[in-house]
Amino acid sequence: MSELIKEKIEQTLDCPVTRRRFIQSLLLAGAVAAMPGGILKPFRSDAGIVYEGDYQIFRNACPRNCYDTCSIKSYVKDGVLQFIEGSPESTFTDGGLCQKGYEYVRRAYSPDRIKYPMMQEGRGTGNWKRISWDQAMDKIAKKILALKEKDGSLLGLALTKYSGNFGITNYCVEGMMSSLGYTTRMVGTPCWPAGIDAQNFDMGDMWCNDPEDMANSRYLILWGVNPAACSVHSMKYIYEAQERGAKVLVIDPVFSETAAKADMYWQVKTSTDGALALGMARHILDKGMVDEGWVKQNSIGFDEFADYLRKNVTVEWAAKESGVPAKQIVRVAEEFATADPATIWIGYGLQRHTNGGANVRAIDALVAMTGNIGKTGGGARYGHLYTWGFNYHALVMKQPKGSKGWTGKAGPKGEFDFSEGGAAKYSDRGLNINKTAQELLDATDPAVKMLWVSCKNPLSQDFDKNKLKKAMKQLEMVVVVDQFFNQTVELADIVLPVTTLFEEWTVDVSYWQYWLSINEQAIKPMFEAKSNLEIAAALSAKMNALSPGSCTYPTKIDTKEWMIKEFNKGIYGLFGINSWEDLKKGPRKAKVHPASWSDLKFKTPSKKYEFKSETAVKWGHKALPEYKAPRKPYAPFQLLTPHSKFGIHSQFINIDWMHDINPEPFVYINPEAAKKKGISDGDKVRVFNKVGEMVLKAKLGDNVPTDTLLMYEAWFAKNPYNVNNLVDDTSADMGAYKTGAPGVAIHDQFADIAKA
Amino acid sequence: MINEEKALLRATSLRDFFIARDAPEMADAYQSLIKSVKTAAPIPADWKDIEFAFNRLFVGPNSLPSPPFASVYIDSEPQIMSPSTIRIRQIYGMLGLTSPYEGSLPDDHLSLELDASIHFKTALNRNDSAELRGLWRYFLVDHLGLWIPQFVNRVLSTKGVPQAILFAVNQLKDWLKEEISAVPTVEQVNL
Repeated sequence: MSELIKEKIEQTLDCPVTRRRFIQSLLLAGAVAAMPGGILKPFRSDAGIVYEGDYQIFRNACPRNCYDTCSIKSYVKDGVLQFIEGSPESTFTDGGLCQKGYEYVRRAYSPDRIKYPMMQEGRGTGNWKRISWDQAMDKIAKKILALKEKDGSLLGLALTKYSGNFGITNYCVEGMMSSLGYTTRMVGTPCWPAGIDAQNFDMGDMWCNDPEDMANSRYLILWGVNPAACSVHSMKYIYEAQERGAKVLVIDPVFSETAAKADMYWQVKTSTDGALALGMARHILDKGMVDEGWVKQNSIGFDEFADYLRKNVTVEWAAKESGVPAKQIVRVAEEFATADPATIWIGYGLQRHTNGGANVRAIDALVAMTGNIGKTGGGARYGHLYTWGFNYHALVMKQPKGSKGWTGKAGPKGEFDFSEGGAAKYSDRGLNINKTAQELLDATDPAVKMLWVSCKNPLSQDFDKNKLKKAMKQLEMVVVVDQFFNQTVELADIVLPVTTLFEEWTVDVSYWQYWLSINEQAIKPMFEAKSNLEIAAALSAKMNALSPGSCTYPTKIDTKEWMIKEFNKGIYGLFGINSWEDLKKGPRKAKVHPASWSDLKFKTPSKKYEFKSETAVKWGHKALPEYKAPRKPYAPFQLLTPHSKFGIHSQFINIDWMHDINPEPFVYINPEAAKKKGISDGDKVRVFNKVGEMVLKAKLGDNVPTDTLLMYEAWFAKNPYNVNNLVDDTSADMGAYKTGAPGVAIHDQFADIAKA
Repeated sequence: MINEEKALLRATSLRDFFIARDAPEMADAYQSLIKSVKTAAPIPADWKDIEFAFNRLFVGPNSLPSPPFASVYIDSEPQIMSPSTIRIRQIYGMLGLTSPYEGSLPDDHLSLELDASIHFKTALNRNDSAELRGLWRYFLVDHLGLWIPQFVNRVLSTKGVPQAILFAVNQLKDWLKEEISAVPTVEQVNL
């Protein structure tokens, strides 16, 4: 009987008509009335929110640091996000997301989301108090004003922000800093700086072909990149090329998921890719397979490069350095040189070495000398920022009048710095983001006393974690803006809840594909989450209330309006749209030639491809793509910490659905090496080096070379695992030219292993 | 205070306790709760520690051992804003009520549901009807009765929970038990 009642009630609830009838009868009977002191309030049928009806569809985009930047269609019913799918209109997204993207509803609606501004009494104690936004802004503003009073500038306030959210309006965080005064900025990028410099020395810009044109390639070398894990949407173009008869070679120290799909696999010795590329170049030169016409018309310095090759490089030498057999080098070199078109996808992992930039230059040279640059299906593919020409309205803010700042060498620009920095008396102080810990410890005159963390998780992602924890002890206030508790929030004084992509207006593009997506606000922000724009406005309001004129950021912001303000004629023209509203019907693709550099008008000083680059010399490098030896190992094993498909850097790893398929972290070791150490599959082991140590389980697999240990980046929720306990902050060779600081040799790390 | 008043005070105190934003609000609600029951209650020395523990259990910023949202316990996936949350929203609507949070706080937060329970009792007192009895029975037995015991168990099995919070949670458990024992019978619900 009880079950029948339950059923009947549920039927009544599910049908809008019967629901209304029920309410009517209750109201007529005078049964229901408002109650003083209660929480629930009377429901008016003319009230704003409609809780009946079909799905509302919104357009969103994944704003993560990922090649794919998927266009998303979000389905909302009753004001609640029900499910999402990849937009079918984008040929790149092609209607599908990835295993991370499909967990977005779970992120938005996790009971563990950071819900309110909170203050920790004693960093790391876990003793948190809930505070109002007003109280939070008050504490923060007062601290900022106190710093200004003490130092005469805001150089004691530092911002560390990177790629947690690439929605364009999120550059408001940098804008917010500028609107307060001249501050300290962690500048540079751990991601791709060496390669960016290399491509700039060679061609005058980093500008890749449309990835969708890989289907047209006749020969693809996937060099130090693992798209099967890290750019799943690109795989279909590789498969298409294969189906059309193209050959795919994967070069990677590890037999990756992508290697399993290739026609050939080379297990290159880590960091010797430059030697391998130069060896192939030497053979192509010897065989007379250089595209002489292309080289003569479109480049400078090839004769010097050829000379260098003849004097310094042989195939045998390249084979010895790289571990790839000479016979293979010779055959592939010839195949690559004769295939038309041929392309190389240069991965970011490949350049995370002390010789990373030099390695990329050598690979670029291989593509150029075979005449494959500027061709559909060709190209030295790395990345681009071609579609990022927005107004950056949220970013460009003036410092308050009378602000004092850094008078040293002009502040460096990061690669995502789209502000038109002119010459100024003062500037921000730039510190190397890749040496955050050391820079915080060393900064003086004034010292850094306050840190604002947004779109970044330094305690998970920054190198030499122990040093960073030490550096943070000197900070008087740490403000962290985030969605979930992590190792950075753990050490915060104040945490501010930020919106997910479904709860804010913004616009998104990719650094790999050529699509533009609008990101509409699909649902009301959960709890008290605010977007970074709203946070900037709130801080400015409080700053100006306490000290008029102390912050130039507007205090009232319509975030939808500010999204619209990002659009300009350039964007409309590039994408062939009349207004941002066109994007409500779906994402749009840039109307460009699929091949970058198709006009062969390079942006170098000579306007040609520069095998010999004077700019490189200016920045302390060799003019030619000469071989640079790898970092000398200081421990028996190479330690690689590549990206996992279970997370985007520190995001998604902590989602409970992800734990179902990725329940615990491992160190991967080759069975031969394991045998020598007496380690069996599943054994608890210690991985250790001069930076720190880690205790975890070992997994045996021969896809890892015998001299290598592999651990996936970077942390694991509710687990002390963090690869940065073992990774130091040694610089890569390049990066300072275009990104403000050299990169990090993330994969030039070494360690030993023993049974625990 | 007569029984009915005390019962109402207990329900409102529990409601206010579990949605308290800071130590003073927790202390106020707790004071009212003590007044409403016969059981001897622990008197906290320092409400600051209670506040820290309260946030650890029910608010954040770390992951919660005992989230105070029904859907986490009764829907197929432990998340908020699930189908059962919409059901609760519909039930509020049936009573002519809506949450002022408009979805930014899940409708099935413990305190909103306690508030709804108070409305139900008031409505039943004012004008009893079979429909109302049926709806209340459903809400109490087929919803609150399903998730609150799980929620209570989560708190009771967490280490280091202060006595005051344990007391409040046990009072919640008692409240539920008493309400269920007094719920309209199947025969009294004539649908």
